[in-house]
Amino acid sequence: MDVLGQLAAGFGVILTPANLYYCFLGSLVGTLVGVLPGIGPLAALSLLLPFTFTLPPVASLVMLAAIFYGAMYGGSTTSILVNIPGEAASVVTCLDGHEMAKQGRAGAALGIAAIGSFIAGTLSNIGLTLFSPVLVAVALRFGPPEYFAIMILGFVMTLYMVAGSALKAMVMLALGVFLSTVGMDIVNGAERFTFGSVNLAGGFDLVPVVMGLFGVSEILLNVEQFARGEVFSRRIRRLLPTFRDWLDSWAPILRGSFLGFGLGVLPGGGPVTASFLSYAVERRLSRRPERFGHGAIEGVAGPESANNAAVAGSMIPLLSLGLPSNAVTALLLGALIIQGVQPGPMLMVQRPEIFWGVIASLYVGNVMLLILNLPLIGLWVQLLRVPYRILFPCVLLLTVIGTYSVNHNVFDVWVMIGFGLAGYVVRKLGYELAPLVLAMVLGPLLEQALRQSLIMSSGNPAIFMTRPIAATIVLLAAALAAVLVLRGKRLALAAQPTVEGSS
Amino acid sequence: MSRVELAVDAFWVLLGAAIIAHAVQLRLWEPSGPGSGFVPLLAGAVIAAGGLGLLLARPRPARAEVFWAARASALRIVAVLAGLVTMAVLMPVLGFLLTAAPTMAFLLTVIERQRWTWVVGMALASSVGLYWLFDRVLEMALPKGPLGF
Amino acid sequence: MRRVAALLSLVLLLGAVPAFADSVAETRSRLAALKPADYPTQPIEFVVVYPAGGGMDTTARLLAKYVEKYADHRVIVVNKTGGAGFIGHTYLATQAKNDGYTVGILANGAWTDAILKAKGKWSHTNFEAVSFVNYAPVTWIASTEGRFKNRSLKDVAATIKAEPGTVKVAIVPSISFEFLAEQVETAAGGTLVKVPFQGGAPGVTALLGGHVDIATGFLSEYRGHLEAGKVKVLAAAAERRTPDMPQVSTFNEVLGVKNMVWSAWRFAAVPRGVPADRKKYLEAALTAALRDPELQAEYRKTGSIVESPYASGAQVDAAIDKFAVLEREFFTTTGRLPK
Repeated sequence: MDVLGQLAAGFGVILTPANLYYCFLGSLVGTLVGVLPGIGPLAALSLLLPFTFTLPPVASLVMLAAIFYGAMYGGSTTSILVNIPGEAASVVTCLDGHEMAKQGRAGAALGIAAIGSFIAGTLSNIGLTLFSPVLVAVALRFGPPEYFAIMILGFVMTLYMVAGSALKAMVMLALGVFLSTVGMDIVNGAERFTFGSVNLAGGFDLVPVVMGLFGVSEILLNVEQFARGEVFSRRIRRLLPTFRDWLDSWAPILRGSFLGFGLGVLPGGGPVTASFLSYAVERRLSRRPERFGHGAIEGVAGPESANNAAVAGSMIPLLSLGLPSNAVTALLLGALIIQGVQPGPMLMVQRPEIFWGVIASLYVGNVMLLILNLPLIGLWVQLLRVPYRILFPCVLLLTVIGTYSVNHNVFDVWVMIGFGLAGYVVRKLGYELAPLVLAMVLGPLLEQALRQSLIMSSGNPAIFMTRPIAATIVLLAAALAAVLVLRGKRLALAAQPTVEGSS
Repeated sequence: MSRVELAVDAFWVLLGAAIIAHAVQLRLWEPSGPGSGFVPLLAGAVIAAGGLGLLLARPRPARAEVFWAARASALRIVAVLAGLVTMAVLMPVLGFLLTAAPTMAFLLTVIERQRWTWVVGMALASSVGLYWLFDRVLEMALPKGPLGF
Repeated sequence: MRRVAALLSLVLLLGAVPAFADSVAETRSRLAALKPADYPTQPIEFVVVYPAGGGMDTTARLLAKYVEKYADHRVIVVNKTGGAGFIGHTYLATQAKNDGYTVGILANGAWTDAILKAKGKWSHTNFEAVSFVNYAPVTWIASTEGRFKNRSLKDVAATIKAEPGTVKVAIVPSISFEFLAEQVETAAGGTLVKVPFQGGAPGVTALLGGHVDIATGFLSEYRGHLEAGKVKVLAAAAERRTPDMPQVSTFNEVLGVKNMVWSAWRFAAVPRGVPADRKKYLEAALTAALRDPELQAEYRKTGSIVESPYASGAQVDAAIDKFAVLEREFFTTTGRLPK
């Protein structure tokens, strides 16, 4: 079939003043909402969902999709500026992005995040346009054993991203897995670690935990340190990435794009996993991994590209299978169904104007977001001039609102406070919190895939080795783990008590 | 070695042990594979082992560092936490606005004293602004107090 | 002739034949007549206990939109989520104010949670139904390329008996999807491999990939694949064949039983004790919205059945009582509840 012809028809659908307007509106709202801590794409979409009811289907989807990736663009902003992730996929961006900002290179970090996102988004759209049917066929071959293998690989890769003490990282990983098991057992509904509490029965949501560990603890650390004056003593240097930055970034952006796209296609992966793995890969491949955590631009370029690529990737199972791979695409699915559009293999046949229109809008939206975000960098950087004594109460209030709005439950605010205090203490002791977040995301997927697989095989673990895809991935993970163990001694001993936070 | 660090390491061991103790009460293994307690048991074991490792592997030169640099910083931490706790306690009772405005005013003076007119103005502006944005424009239904806001 | 027309329009105006005459303006004015003086003065909140974007959420948001069409005030949807709905249910049953500003848009889970999890702290009678909304039966589907491509549910049942423990069915634990599979095991006299998933759609995908033999789900979760000819419906867990799938047989008729009735059965309810005039107004507002042909068409598109057999909130309450008794019976016989 003539893909390009159909894509052109899709552009014909999109390039009307009304649709362009909604695309722009979505990009703008998504960016602004993504910037607010605690209010990620999910909250943004659910807030604006009712508004789109009154729009025609194409306009409504174009706008919602634009909000989604607009929020991914915006999510990195607070990570870089105030070290508080706008949403979970931007957690890793804090590691080097904020360091860059402290060195006066906030503009470069924001710039590379926007441009990397643009390149990754566009490349993934091309992948989406050309290879959708093939990728769907591949994704369908991934059953529970294959997912289990992927999750194992994810955990092994996480160990590569750790800069400080390996023991501390292990504790954080295990803690993340443990936290993810609190609440109802996903397989048999048994209550675990709830102690009869209604609130704990639902388990810990990611948003309050992330807002506590990163938002509240960051504010506590800063309030303690900055007796008066500002977070950034140095002057802000140039706003755009330098030639040197480009040299460092182009490869991470490309790798991040591929990694993110691939993970996005697979249900369960999504932007969070993609950004973490990209960071781990970049650190592993870097000739000077010691720069990571101290303002390495690759640590911003890779993950930010990966999470945007994952957004485009996750459109494939959504549009072709009607399968949402994360909470955000689940919401998009709801929006489609409200519009009377049934995603699935027939969408391309029955409603080509919607299928290709949405894909065309992804291209257009990416261009818009780039144009929108580059000038905004100047504005965001000015935000750093706001005295911290004024900035932090506002940010604190925003995190409370964001956390509360997830479930409309004050219990989540308590969770945030608790994790804020805990995060403050362990960060002072040189623990890295990013692995905990990843473990919380991957933990339930890992457990479910493991138990599903063994139920399918009546308890026989050979299922992971008899299926070619699963076996390949498991072997790869084992090899990577072996390398790690061989180098491990050196790594564990060389681990200095990191200066992070406590200096 | 800071006493806090020692306490945290010990906490991991205790937490890990507690998790293990609870996990073994759940079913660890079922005919079809791992049960509810299996993954928590592993996690608990790793936490405990990690904590133990940290306790033992620390004969390095002690960091002669106090956890809190100064009493004033500790007080500021407590103040911020108190503000948050106030929000969590009072928000369901008084509603968002009546809680947020005074808390904001309090937090604005945490780092350094300001003119009270400025503080009150800023606190009112920020809390009303945020309330208007989230509750009215975005319809997020923030907690309401007895006065209906 | 002209006189007949005039007479007819007079009759219509008087509302004697409301089924034909309901123009939006008339419905609005009739609703306005029922409106209590002091209510509503602030937005009414539709509480959904499941996350945004899901079936319940879209149901509630559509309903809110059409209530606003007839009633002159804001209706906002609030997702009070967590614990697979239990947190929201408990909130509505024990904490929400009965001032008519909080309306739960609920489903079966409301009484299932009351029976299985509330531990006597609350029951489904803590809610008073305002209106039935819609329902969708739980169905079993098979792949048109898989093990049961040319088979019926009867054949599947025979296979379960002949080769127990070989038929893999995708379920969602602890809800109707699992309960239905257990009933089929009992009826067929064999065992299934029940592979747990988080929701119907992932199970359907696993079915397409050949990782399971049968998937459980609602029409909205697989309609695209059904139209593409990738899957076929084996049976529906409904009392009778449903209007949108008349050719699909029910579990009851194939397996010769009566108790295999599971659905997403959605209704609106308020915490007990809402003042009578407010509740009456809410009933009228929701009924007006639910009779709107456009809303009905939207619901049908999502795979739900909108025809309501219940004339009032009280009748809905009675229906729920009946469901709760049947379900309690099932839970006692399967050992989920002590006898």
